[in-house]
Amino acid sequence: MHKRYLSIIFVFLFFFGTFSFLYFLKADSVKSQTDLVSISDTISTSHPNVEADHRVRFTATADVPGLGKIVIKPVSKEGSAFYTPPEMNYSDVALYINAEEKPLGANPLEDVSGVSIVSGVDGQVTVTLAENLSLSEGDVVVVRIGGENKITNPVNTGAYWIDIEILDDADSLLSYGQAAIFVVNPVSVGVAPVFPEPIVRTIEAGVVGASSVVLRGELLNLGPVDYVDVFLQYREKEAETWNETGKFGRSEIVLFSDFVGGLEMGTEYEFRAAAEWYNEEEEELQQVYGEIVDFVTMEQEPGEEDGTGEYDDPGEYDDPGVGDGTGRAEGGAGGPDDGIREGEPADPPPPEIQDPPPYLYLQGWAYPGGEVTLLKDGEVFAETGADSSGEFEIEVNTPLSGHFNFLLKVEERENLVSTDISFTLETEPARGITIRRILLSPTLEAEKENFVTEENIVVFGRGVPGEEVNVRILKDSERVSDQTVDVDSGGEWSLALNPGELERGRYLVIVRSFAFEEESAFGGFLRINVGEVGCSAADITGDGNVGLSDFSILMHYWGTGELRADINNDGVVDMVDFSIMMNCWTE
Amino acid sequence: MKARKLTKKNQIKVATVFLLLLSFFPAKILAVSVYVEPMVSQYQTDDVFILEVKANIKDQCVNAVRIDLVFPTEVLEGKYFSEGGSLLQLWPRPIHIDNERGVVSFIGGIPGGHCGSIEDKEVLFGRIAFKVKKVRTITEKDVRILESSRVLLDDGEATPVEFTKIGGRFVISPERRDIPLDAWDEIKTKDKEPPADFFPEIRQEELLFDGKQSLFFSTTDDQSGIDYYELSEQRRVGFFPVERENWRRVESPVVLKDQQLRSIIKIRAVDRAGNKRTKVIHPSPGWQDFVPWIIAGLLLGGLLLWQFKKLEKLKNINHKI
Repeated sequence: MHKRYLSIIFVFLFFFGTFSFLYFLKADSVKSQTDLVSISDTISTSHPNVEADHRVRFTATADVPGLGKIVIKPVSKEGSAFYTPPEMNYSDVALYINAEEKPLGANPLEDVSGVSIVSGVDGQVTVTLAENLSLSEGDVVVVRIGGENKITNPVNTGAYWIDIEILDDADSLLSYGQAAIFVVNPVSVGVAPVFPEPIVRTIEAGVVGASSVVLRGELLNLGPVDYVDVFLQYREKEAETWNETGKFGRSEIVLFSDFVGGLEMGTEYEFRAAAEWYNEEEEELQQVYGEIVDFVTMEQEPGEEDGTGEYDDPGEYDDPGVGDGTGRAEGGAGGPDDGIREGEPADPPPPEIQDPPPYLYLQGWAYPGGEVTLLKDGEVFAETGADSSGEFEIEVNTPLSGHFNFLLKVEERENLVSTDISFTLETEPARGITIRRILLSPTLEAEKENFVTEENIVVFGRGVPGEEVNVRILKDSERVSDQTVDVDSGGEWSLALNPGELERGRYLVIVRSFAFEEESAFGGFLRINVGEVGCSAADITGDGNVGLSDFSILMHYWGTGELRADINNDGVVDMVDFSIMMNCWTE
Repeated sequence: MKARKLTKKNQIKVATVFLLLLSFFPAKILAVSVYVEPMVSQYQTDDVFILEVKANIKDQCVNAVRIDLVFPTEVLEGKYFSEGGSLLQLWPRPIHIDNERGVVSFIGGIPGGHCGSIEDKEVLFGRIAFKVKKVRTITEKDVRILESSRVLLDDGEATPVEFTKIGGRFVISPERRDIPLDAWDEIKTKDKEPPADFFPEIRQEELLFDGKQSLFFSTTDDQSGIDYYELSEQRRVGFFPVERENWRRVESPVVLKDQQLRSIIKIRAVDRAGNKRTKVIHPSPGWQDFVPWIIAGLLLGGLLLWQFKKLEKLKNINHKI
């Protein structure tokens, strides 16, 4: 009995202790102000000089009050720019906050956000939040641009940037970010040129029973079209007509299968994979077939194993390999219809398979020793390292088909710094994409964030050896300093800012690389605060007294990040600033 | 607050007073006005009455107010100031009632400001409880809002608003009621609600108290107003307090005695009617919190093992028997 009591007490104490531990682990979260995260601009087409829809997405990292602004500004390059048509208006724009669409109009109202558009080659789209609409830290914001009127992609291929600025109701910069857009001209790669027609192959029948079977096929190439119907045909050996399974529409290479029942026991059958598409030139439906494959049903029912229906829906195509199983050319079991489109006397040979150049090739520069990772839709897709000159190359040798979000990230684990760009690409299995001269922004660090007025401020980081880094300092969206420094042969750069140059206030430092006649996007996004010590910061009006006028300004900016009233420079005007002001009161 | 009904004779007097008061007003009546209520009233010796300081801000947006009010010390004694129900939420300076000079001064603010409208009703800035002193004859005295009072626009520039200041006149009679009027007591009696919920925060600020761990807090009470705050820091071991609550009166911000944050911190707001609202903060646990549990676990484990072995031994003996 004693043992039982003690066990109960012990279990009770164990759970109580665990509960207490978990309860007390709820530490207060620390608010920090960083720049936009998960930023991307997905475009409907990345081809040059064509109209495209833009889907700008980001996660807010600061609270934005009503009448705050989201400014989306495509950045032009010399001789090549995005073009915003003058006809574009609010009806071409949509705003979603946490997946909920918000009403838009020409001007901001109580519950309607306003959209203003600057057209032309230096166009921009500004969404002013409705009076009653605000953003909270962590909100996912999507701005879709492109309805009846769309932004036209630049004429030249290359990497382009979309600036995204988040302003408060007084037009002070709260957050800033850049999304990358690669305008590319997809080119056919030798390994998988455009085939004149879709290609399918037949795969051995699986799970053969006495009266049922699972038939399987594979769509290897879409050929000249974007969409085909895939299906399977079967019949008793050398019968005249084919039976067909249901058709599934597919727009990418895929393994497909279907369950067929009602077959005769102990009978020899044959089947083949098939695809059907609409030929626009000839204005007719056309079909292609894989090789014919035989199977024989069992002499008696195998019981429950028959007809499991395991493959009743086409599965995903994992790794087709390069040029594997182009069944139309290889023929099959023979017969008049073997791999031949109906009505045609001969089968044209498939393109010759060569050593594969990559389906996706990326080349660019970051900084020496950087670990380069390419993520596709959030998963690691390829990894490599930057060499001593900061150059990196990535080759992807598997076909890609679809619209993907990529993130190219370069990290230096020793110093826990990284730089990245995200972009979207429209890929096709038969086409390769080569992007060269990608220049990533340099890294940016400072020994601390808060500086006393007149204190020496040094910023530093890593970039492309022998090239230049442009350091820009912004205050309230206005440029206060723009300097260029050389990167040494080891990839290090540093800049001592002139102490007298930065007065009291909060600054955003951004950096970009100039290298090999390219310029990177701005990165870094380091916030530094230059402030007064003691009560001089509480004297907001600067009249030598801390009193009612300072208090009024503090009340006005309560809850915002207004620099004048943020006495302790922590990014928000709150009770602490009020307490400091009380402490410093002189009137 | 119940004022005594005026006699006909006094009504004539009051009307005269009112006309006199109006004659003090500037030629141009300004849109915003700050006034006291009641404007005209009559009290007796030892009455305690409430003078409300109110405003009609019309369509202006304001965020900070300083009111300086003078009262006749020969007939009135300022007893209490209550911010209960006030539009003002933050009070940067202690409210000061100077019974020698006869001045009540207060400064308050509204985070984010407050905008009125043309049809807007009056807003309350604060309430002052006065006790009537003994007088020999019927005495008429004024309470005035001084020119040093200010109302500032919520425009980020602290622009002062021109406003009309309307004081009050009181007729004090020498009689004393059997039970003198006590409007302050009425407010306290009616107040059954605790102060509003609040969220105290422990912060370290370089600019305050040399960066020591400090507690920041503030709340309001819509009825009688906040009287004071009390703080208790109880040492804890294994998440549990090991000493009694030790309350002390504090004002925000307050430096915590336990800079290691090893205590259970309780802060409570007490309104003038004695209603309390207490908030408890458990700072993040440290390794010390787990030591007693680990020791207890080891002891219990050992005890269980010992019991188990003892039982086994008994079983063996029984088996042999």
